Amino acid sequence: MNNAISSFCDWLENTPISVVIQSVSWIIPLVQSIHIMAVTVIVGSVLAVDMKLLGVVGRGSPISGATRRFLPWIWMALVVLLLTGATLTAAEPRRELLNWVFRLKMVLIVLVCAVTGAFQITVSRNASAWGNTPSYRWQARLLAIGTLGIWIGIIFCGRWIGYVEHQ
Amino acid sequence: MFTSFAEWLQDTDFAQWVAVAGFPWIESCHVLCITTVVGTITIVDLRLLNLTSRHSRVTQISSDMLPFTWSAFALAALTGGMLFMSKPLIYVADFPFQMMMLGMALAGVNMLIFHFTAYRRVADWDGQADTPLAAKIAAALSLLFWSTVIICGRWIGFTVR
Repeated sequence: MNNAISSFCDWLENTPISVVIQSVSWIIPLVQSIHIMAVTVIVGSVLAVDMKLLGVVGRGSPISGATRRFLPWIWMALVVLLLTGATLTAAEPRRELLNWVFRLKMVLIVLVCAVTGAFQITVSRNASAWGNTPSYRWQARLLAIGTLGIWIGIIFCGRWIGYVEHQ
Repeated sequence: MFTSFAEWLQDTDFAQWVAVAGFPWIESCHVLCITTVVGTITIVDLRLLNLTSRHSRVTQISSDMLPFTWSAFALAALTGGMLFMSKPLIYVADFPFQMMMLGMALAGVNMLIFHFTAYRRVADWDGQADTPLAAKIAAALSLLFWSTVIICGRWIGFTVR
């Protein structure tokens, strides 16, 4: 498996686009900065939704207000993160693709996207009940703490990609 | 005098631990804190720019978000100080580090000016969808300065190794 990925990395790092990104010194720092700015959009939006789910902010207003206001920003930021992340991977494929922290990060991202998507669909179907009736309250808390935890894990993995030894 | 202080600082056991082992952990916390600071400020700034949350009061959004901004800022300063301790003389002489500090100082001055001018009369425009020009300018400058902080902060990682 790793051999196949390794030969893919060999091919990718010799493509013209990868060579250009590697050779122009400011591209990687700039793309990483855009990547982090997209992370700030995620963190602000996730915090706003999760604090609403926990009842810390916006008591008395419906949960659907917070989801309609903030979830589209999470998806938009994820598109930017995917594009900038793909650019960084194209430049230094071995740093990411042969790195277990990168793989863990990808698993966590798929997980959090699935949970967020399922939550968004559920709220749009049953907007009034979520977070307001007692039977939903523990679910809302679990969701908030779970997604916050996963996002913190993703951010830690993102920074640690640069520190672990890759093959 | 600063040189001798810096040398004492980086020779402390804690700074030595940061330099050899703690750096990635503290740096990850620092990134988490700074993204929280900028993410929550952005929500307030976009409302002040009259681009989002038009149905919510400006004071409501501020009071919901700013406690997170300030706590995260305190932790970002603390973790930033720990990272700084590992190589103080190298950081103070580093151009991206100086620009990051300048960006933060400008963000602070901008916030103070806003608080003592347009925000003093916030009751007059709080509930309205549209915001005064002064508030829009302050919000745009805030986004600009905080973006500078992030770009320069990331840039430090390429000049200080």
